[in-house]
Amino acid sequence: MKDVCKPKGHAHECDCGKECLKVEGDRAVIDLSLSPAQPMHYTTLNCVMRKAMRRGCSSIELKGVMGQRYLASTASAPDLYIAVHGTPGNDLGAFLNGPTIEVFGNAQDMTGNTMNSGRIIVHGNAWDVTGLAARGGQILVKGDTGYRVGIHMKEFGGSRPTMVIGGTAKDYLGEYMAGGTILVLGLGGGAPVGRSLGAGMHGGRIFVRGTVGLEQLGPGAAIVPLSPDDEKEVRGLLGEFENAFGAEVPGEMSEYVKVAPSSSRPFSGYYDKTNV
Amino acid sequence: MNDRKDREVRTDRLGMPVQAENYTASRPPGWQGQLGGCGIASCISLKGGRIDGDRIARMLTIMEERENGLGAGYACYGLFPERRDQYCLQFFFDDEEGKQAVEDFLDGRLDILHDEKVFLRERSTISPPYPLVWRYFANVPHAREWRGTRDLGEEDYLVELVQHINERVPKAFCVSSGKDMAVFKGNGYSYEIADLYDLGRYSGTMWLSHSRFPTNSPAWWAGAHPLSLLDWGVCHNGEITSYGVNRKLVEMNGYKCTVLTDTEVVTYLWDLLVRRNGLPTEVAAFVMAPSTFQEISLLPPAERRLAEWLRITYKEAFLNGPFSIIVGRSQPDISLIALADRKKLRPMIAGLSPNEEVAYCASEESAIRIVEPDARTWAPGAGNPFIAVAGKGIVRRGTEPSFQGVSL
Repeated sequence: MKDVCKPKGHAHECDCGKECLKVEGDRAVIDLSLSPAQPMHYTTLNCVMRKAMRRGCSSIELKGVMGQRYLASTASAPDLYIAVHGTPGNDLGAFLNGPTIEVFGNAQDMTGNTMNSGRIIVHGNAWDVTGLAARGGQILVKGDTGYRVGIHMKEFGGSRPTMVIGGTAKDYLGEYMAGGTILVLGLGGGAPVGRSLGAGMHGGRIFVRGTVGLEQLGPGAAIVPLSPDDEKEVRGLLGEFENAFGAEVPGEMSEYVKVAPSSSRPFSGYYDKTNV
Repeated sequence: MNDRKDREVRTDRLGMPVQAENYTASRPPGWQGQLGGCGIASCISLKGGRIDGDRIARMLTIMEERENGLGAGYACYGLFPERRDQYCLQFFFDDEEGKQAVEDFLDGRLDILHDEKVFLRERSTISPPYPLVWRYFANVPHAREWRGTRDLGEEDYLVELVQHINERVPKAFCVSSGKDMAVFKGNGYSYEIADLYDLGRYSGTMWLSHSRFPTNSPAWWAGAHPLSLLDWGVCHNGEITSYGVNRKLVEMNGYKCTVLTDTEVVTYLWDLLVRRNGLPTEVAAFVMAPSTFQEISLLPPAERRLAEWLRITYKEAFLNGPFSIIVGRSQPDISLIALADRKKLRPMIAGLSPNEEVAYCASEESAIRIVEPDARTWAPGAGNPFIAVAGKGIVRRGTEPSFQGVSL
């Protein structure tokens, strides 16, 4: 029989009777090893986290995270800092609106799904579909990422998502990208990006340190020279990456390639009846 | 709402009863709006050591969110060291009648050396009925004749027998039929199945596992994964959109589709491509998840010819649609193969223990971390197989170029 450690209905309180949340001042520590159900269910953990947020904590430290999904999703306190020790599950920080999440380990898939603002810092790898549909905020990944990273990122008004990947990204990076910036550093060797790069992109920009072959570009993407504004943006992002991870990054601008949309309507004529 | 019990039986044009329930404004009971996807996990001892059944159960059950209680299963390889060279046929029977029918059929067709009841707990949270699970250890006789064909190969003969039972013998289903391996599966949550079979009592060199979230095929005991034929075991997350054309290919080659799910064609394709047609594992993986013709055009000439030849020869073996699969076999060596589709639309993470003795493959990194907190993990590429062989180590990490190591 499996231990149950699930919240009661929608009361946002778990019912196990053991307190895994400890609050000192405005700092909260949630130790998952105290849960009777191993691993703790993600609905329970998210309820405990929301409890800490309601108490006005400005810092939440999670210990022993093991695949729990949707952590800090929709969290919206701008000054909140969340430290995650362990392996967070899919959709970490989905719809995040303000807080900073720092992961000391690897993140799974769909980190920062549709995030609005805030920061997600991953000190390991963040696998497939990281930062999908992000519409603001920043994602920094020290290691590698997987496939379809940053698909359909978009920007509007003052919201402009940025993502820096220290290692490599695989195929379909920035597919259908409508705005924002992705920077791939390719530290640690290997091809920095895969194939179908920026397929169907009609906004935003992708900077890659290293070489990008024309055969790697998806339809709608083109290699264009870096403008002085672009160089300034890349230097700014490199500074943030160095601050977050304490890692030195080569800043020679001639090593960077910019990939941008070849037009604002990459599929013009595909679906437009008047153009058939 | 009308009373569901007092209505006429609905029939189709052939007069067969139609079982589909219909719901209008009231939700169908037992369904929750949730996103899921099957979970797969596996581990292999690279030095041929033994891994406890509890370990794979912990790996699989942590991905609880990926399943909905409609099927889970485990396959263990290197399970019967003292009967390593005998075929182990494991069956589900509805009742004693099915068992008798199978024993009558096998009488004279196989040399059964030993048979035993597979342990099943009497109480479980899974709703009954449970099948009777039985295993037979057998050798294949020297005189092998099936429907007028004499001197069939041992394995071809066994495939014919197993498929005949699954297609024709009522109240019986053969869930695994390989050497030195067995499949433990059923229609429940991963932790329920592990508990029902008491997996802790088993240990083996390699484990495959699967928790199911069926999207387009019915949930039933024999339809849970791993789906197995001979020593092949396949766990699959995703959909085989090309099921129709794949099914035609395997049926033309004598396989019978009896499980009502798309995954079984993958099992038969591995058997057809690797055992019968003799393709190397990497090449068979390329056949199932090939590069695009644009990518092929960029390969060196010899590899390009091979790739084009494979795509043309085996075009019906191309698995279209999103999938990640974990495949195991025990002959000639216990080996683990993990493969994702060519766009990697389903997750797959590989890992290696710090002492480099155990390799892992799973849908989620947490499945590896819960049993090996300090594992080194990496993501095998799209359409790029991870291959590990007991006694040989990791043959392929899944990050190499397509035909590396294949003699052209």
